[in-house]
Amino acid sequence: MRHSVRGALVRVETLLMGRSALVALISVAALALVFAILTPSTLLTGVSISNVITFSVILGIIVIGVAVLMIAGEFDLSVGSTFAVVGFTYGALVTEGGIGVWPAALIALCAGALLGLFNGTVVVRSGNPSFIITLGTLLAFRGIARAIGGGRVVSYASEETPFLFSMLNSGITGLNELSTPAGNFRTSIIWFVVLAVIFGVFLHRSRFGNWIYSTGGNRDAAQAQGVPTRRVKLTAFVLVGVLVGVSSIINFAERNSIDPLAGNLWELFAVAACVIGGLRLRGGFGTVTGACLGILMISLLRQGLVLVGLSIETFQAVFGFLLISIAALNQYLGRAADD
Amino acid sequence: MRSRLIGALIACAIAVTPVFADGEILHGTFDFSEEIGQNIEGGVTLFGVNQQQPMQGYGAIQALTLQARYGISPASKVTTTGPAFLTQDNLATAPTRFIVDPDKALRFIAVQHARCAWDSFWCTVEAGIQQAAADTGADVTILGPDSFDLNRVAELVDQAIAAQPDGILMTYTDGRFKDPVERALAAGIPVIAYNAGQGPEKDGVGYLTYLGQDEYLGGYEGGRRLIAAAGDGAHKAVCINQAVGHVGLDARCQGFADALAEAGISMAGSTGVLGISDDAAASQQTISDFYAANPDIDIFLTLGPNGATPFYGFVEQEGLDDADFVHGTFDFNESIAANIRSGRTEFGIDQQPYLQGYGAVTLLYLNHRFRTVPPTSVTPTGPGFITEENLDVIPSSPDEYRARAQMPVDIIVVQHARCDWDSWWCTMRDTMAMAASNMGVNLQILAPDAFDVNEVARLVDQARADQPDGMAITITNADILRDSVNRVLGDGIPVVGFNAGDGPDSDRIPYGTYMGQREYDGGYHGGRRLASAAALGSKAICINHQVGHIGLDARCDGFVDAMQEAGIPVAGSNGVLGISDDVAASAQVISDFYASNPDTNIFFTLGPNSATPFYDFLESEGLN
Repeated sequence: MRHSVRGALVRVETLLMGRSALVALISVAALALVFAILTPSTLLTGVSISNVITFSVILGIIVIGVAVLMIAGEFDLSVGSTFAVVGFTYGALVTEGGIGVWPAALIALCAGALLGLFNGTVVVRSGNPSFIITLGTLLAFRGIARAIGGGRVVSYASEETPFLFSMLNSGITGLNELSTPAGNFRTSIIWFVVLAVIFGVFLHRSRFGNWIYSTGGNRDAAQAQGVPTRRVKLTAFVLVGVLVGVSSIINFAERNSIDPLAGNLWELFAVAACVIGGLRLRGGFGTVTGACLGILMISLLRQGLVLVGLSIETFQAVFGFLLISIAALNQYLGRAADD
Repeated sequence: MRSRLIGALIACAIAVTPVFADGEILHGTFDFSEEIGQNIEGGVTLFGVNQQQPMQGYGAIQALTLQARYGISPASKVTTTGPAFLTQDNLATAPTRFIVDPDKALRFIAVQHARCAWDSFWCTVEAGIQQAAADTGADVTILGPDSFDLNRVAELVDQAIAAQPDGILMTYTDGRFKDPVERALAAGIPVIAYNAGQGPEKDGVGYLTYLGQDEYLGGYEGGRRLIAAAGDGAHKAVCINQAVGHVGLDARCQGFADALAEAGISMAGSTGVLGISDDAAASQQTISDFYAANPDIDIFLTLGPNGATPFYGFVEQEGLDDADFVHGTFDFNESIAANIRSGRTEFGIDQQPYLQGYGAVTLLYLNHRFRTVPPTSVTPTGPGFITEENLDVIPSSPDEYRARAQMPVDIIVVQHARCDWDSWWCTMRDTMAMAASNMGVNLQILAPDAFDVNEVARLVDQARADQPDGMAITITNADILRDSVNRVLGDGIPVVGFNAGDGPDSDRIPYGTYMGQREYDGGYHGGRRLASAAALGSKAICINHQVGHIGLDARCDGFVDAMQEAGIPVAGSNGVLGISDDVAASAQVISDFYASNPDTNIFFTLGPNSATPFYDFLESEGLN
């Protein structure tokens, strides 16, 4: 009897081994179940569900980049500050700069890429851990955002919403009106899914994707096999910058306004999403799907705690302990897989 | 040598000229800190402008609860909570030193010119007073004459003073109450007026504020609603007044006329006012005759049942189609209710008597617990609009008001900062919790973990998923929050803005009201205070630590306008000296400025971040 229970556990472990995203999926489902039991009348409504998904998007797009970089064995703690610099630059260009929303988007993406390139170059050239370098740029970029912003808020005021904005991030009215109270599904969800699929396929089906895994998994072995590990890391940093740029433009398309404090603390949630999603800090392991489930779980937790009526001061505590539990579970399953 | 001579001359001037005897430098500032407190105590600083958080926190929860339970809506789009002034006189109750006598049992006495026993209108007012007493734990006795007798009311006020209550709330029906009220004030008993009065300024006696309908605002907002209901196209309007010459009724028509003029809609006849009488049949004929001469009128406002009744008779008699005109009226009765239901009448304007009683007690209560002072002479309780939408929500009897007092209410507050990382917000949290506990409301406060307005917007949407009965939101950035707040409003959830915002009109979000201090007003009234203390030959400067910040710029604008009104010149090109958050550098900037503008003697700072370098400057120049 005892033997068969143990056998079943082993089988479950086997099932989960190497499938880090599955842990995240089960965590999301379990959490959803808990909230559904606690607040059955408010969680399973169009508005709650759409909120959970919609509010995953802006940070989720950044998480995709952070995940790719983490698989390559590096991190970027400056994403929140990069978001502020790029987002504010974009806002300033289309409002005060009088530049069209399309060309400004191009400039903003380039700015994001440049900041990513800076991070990447310094990390690769100096040989310092990316934790230290991007901790520095976390502060530095935030300072830049504050310097160009100077306590200002830039707001885009126009009677007509530009096509770019409504395409990137507008309410999906038909879908939202299906529920009462109206849901909050937005076109931004589509872009998030599209980007997640592109990067998922790119990681698993392309040669460069393989290089990313091998660079993060065992850098020396990868180099020995002729993988240009420096170029791989540099590219991953630039990708993060570009994705932060995309995220900030999609964000501005909805809110039409931004201040230099935007994106504060986001880097921590981005890393947390990756950890929940089964990625390992030392790299070479995990999937974009896992990271996306991680951000979905954070979003679900935030909405659920509001519905439960828990005091908001406790949110971080709940989240912190949940993060530790999931990380421990991942660690345990990971060791089982290695054995 | 020359400067020493000038110095000596100035010293002589100070010694011999009485206008300079009060000391040279005048300083006032926004906000409060320990340092500002010490300088107020030491006489260096005249005042700290106080936006009165308790009025925002308690007020927001109270407004939302009253709306959820009784359909009482905020009367004005901006509910001002400041500026109040922290001076040497009331420093003991500065924001860091709340709360005053938390456990002291409070006893208030209400004196009114009529009673529920013989005038049913007053049953609702009294229900409000009694409920507020139960909620706040205060003991309130209601006094009134046995029949309409203003002399008796005046006596009752004096009798109330004798009981040494902690506060008196009363109808300031007549100027003869002035002496008794002054006696109460002299005895240290705060007084507040409700239902009848014009406010301490016009009544010429220093009670706290008057809670009642703002008649002009009623006409104005009523006009705006009728214009919106009439839709596009050409319109003509008339205000039907049953007592032309009555100050209150004329103010209603004036507000209405101003709203129409703003929209470019013309009024019928020479003045736009049609005078009728209290005789219904004769009035109906007057309206018919006027309509025959002006058949293009399609917007009608009546000022009460005495105008609405003949108006309905006229509509029936002429066989007018309800779709061809819009009508709104002041006040409310069975017939008006039936016509709102049928769609003939857009609204009845309610002075919200329950709120008059309830609000008077809570304002006194807050005045005791937090020493908050209502910043405006009139605290409007009306216009409240009774429309088809809320007709059934509004209680029809005092018993129904009582029955709903225990109705469960869920309120979610979403704000841009939080007590655990910005201690300024602790008072806000505490006063909100106090209101919730007093009123038996379930309260949840949400805020991001660090300042991030996008996160605030997200929280608004997440709170919306809970479908609370009301939400209070800091409108920190209207552009970012607009869609989220509109979704909440779209679900029919009442929203009040508080602490940050500029009112539903300029924020372009149709929430109920903004509770807070308008920055311009703070600057303006602060400026007026400094101007009234200033000597001849003064010159003023506004020291701004964040030029370009909309709120801070507005403070300086208000200050500069007050100076210009008082005929006091401002230094520099626009009266503003920009500094930064760097204290040492800023003190130097102020010193440099003073060196080139040595005749400047009125300094206005916008908070601790500009007050601190100012104090450093005073010290380094030896001016304090």
